[in-house]
Amino acid sequence: MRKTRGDNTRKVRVEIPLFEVLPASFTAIVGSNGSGKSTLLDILGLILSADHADEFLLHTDRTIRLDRLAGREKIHLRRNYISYVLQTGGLLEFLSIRQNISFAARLRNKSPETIHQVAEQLGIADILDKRPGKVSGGQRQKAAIARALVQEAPIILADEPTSALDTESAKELMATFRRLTDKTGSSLIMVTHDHDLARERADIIYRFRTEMVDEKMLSSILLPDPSLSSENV
Amino acid sequence: MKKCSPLFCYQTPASLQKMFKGTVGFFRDCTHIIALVFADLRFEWILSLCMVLSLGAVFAPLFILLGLQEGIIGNMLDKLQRDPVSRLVEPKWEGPLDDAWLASLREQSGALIESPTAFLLLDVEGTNDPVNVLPTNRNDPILKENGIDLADWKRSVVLSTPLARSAGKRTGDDFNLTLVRSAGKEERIPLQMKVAGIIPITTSQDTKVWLDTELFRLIHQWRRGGAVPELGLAGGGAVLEPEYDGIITLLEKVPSDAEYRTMIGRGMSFSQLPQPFDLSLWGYVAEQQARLWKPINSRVFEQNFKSLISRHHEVGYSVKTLPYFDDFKVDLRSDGKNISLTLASLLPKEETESTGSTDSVQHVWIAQDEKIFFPYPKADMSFSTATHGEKITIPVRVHPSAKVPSGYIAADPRFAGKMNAAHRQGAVYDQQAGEFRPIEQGVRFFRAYAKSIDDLESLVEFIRAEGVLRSSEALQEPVSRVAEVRDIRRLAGYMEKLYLLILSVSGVSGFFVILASVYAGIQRKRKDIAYLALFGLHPLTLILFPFFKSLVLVSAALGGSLAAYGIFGYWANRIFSDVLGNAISLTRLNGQQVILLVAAVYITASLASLIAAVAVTRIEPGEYIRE
Repeated sequence: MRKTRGDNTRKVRVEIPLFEVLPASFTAIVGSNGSGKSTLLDILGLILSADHADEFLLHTDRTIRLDRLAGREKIHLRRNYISYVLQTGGLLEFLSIRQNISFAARLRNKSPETIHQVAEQLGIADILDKRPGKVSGGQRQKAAIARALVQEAPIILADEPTSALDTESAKELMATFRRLTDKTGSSLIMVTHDHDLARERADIIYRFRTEMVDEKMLSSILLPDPSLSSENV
Repeated sequence: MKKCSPLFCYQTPASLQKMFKGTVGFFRDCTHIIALVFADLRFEWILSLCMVLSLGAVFAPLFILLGLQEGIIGNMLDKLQRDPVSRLVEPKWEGPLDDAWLASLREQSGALIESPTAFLLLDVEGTNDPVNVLPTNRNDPILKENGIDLADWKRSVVLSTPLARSAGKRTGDDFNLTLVRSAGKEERIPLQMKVAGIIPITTSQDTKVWLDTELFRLIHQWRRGGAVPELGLAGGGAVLEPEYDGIITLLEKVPSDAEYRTMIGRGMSFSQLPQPFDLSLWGYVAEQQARLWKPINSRVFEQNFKSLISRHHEVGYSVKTLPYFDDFKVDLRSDGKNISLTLASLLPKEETESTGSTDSVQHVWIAQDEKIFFPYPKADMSFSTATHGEKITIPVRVHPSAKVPSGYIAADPRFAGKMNAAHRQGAVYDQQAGEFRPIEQGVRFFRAYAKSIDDLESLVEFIRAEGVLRSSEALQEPVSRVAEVRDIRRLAGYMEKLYLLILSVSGVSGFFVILASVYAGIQRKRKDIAYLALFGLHPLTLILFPFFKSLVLVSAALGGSLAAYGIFGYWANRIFSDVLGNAISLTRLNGQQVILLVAAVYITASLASLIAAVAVTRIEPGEYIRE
């Protein structure tokens, strides 16, 4: 799969020779800034199309060719299969955190009854009735994680979900996140620049290897990271 | 699965199920969106309030202006509709009416007062001058509007306010009428009546009396010499009374216009200033200035001469009077020779009295040069009657006179007046008595009321068409307020156009205000919209977010505008209560108008919101979710 992004001054050509995500697994994608991590996540989230894809498949009870989907089918998959955890939280400012979570749950016809339980586990139960603008960046990220968990989506795409936390808190949050996704059976795909955090919790790590093709073009290829610790496999 | 043939196309149940699920899903998403809209409006309540106020500032003037337009014009039209005089149509002409035409007129009219003549002049208490007596009946809207009932038609009288004031009468008081006729000898019959009601000054400013049409007809019959057993009145040898078309006054010094107005203001049969009249052809000395008094839509009787002289005396002028006739053609025929002349009675009195004749033959005077071509001392004078076009022939003695201009024929003023009455009403000439005997008259005059002011124009046109057939151009146009009604309708039309212009300008402004605000709102909310797209909401559903939000704001602005309209109406009515009174509102909107205006606002707002909301579909979630 290939995708080129950027403007006339700088372009990044993202190439993905092989990328595979197993059910109920934790896949981490690491890479430097501008290497194409978010581009890959957007392609996986079906909000961005690849320029070319030999195969881009989703195996459910049938195999779906994602690169050939019409817009309407992409929307359907996005709604029923994918949850997004954004670096900024991605919460609606005009809803309270509880309303943000319950709204997302209702959209997926999931009961919002588990909100409090998940919030307890993530340590945000006391801020549920606050608006996103009134809580810290870390709490917003935890709220976004809670929202993704309550949605019980088969695929959770997380874009630097711990960027607003210190290392210890990030480790602790990732442990909880992993534990809860194991419980829901969701596949977690996380992009991060924190290689250590990825190595600690991920089942498989992919890394973007970058090199300048010329002055304006950066080539970024996604490859499996051989440094993955065996105990996580 | 879908199977199609050229004639039939049907869908399998599975497809229907899918469509049903899709529809249910769409409506469920709509409920989510509506919940989000209200949450967002609550969150941004200050911004929402500002938006409501700015939209209200566009909508409220539309309601207020429409309310004012409807109120002002509506009040004017209501006033016209309520005032029966606005619906009244009277012809300027008088004459026998065809039964079929009268039946058609009855059908077209809301109420019709039929009578043998337009009015009677009777002596009444409370004024020295004879007053106009008009026919009326129970269906007369003037009576109905004022709650007056002619319970006893023989004894009931209705007075105008000026007459009631001068006579000091109220409803229920006795009121005396005096019937006068002079067929050889003068007879005066007092009639004691009861005041059945008083017509308000707003309806009639003149000194007038109304009697039931039947009583009116009987008095008219008596005045013409007939017997009226219903009132216990005997006949008196029915003869026609002289009628004139105007009065010429001769004065050494002419009163000023202000003095003339004073005279008119004191009440008489004339309502417009007299015009200079040239009598030089008739040999009157230049020191004597002549003025012609002509009534509008009326005739002149002998009593009017007296009251005109009195009015001049009251302002310090001495005046002589002469009768005036409109173009009245008569034929003189003798020995097979026939000449056509115009009747006038402008010879000095001493000239017409100088015949010394005592027989009943009438005397006429023609110009001396005319006498050369018509040298006969005896001739037959004839003229046609307006009634049925029949001719009346009178044997006359013809005298030459140096004072009669060529083309004219002069006669005794009183006899000429009777000829004029016969000319109008139709009559039989009794040569022995030297009098005109009236012939039976049917309906010769009417007052018609249109069913509503909307029907006024057609009724006027119907009566005008008859006037064209039977009278001179000056008398063709009936008396009515059609011009006033037309003016108000025209004004209503102009105001409506003006309002539509304002509405169009406001509509365009409102359209762009809404378009811009929705578009700005989308730009401001693009991150939130990108998140919603990320949740898997369809772009067509996402359009509903700014669209519904805009409609909620428009609804609130409309509610505020209606409230502003109500408050404006309340205060305007309080401020102008002195002018309007308590029963009339300066502003007026009915349910249909409100619904139409609200619908127009919603359509404009929906269109503007929808066009702007389409911008939502251009938001790429990937571009904004990381902002």
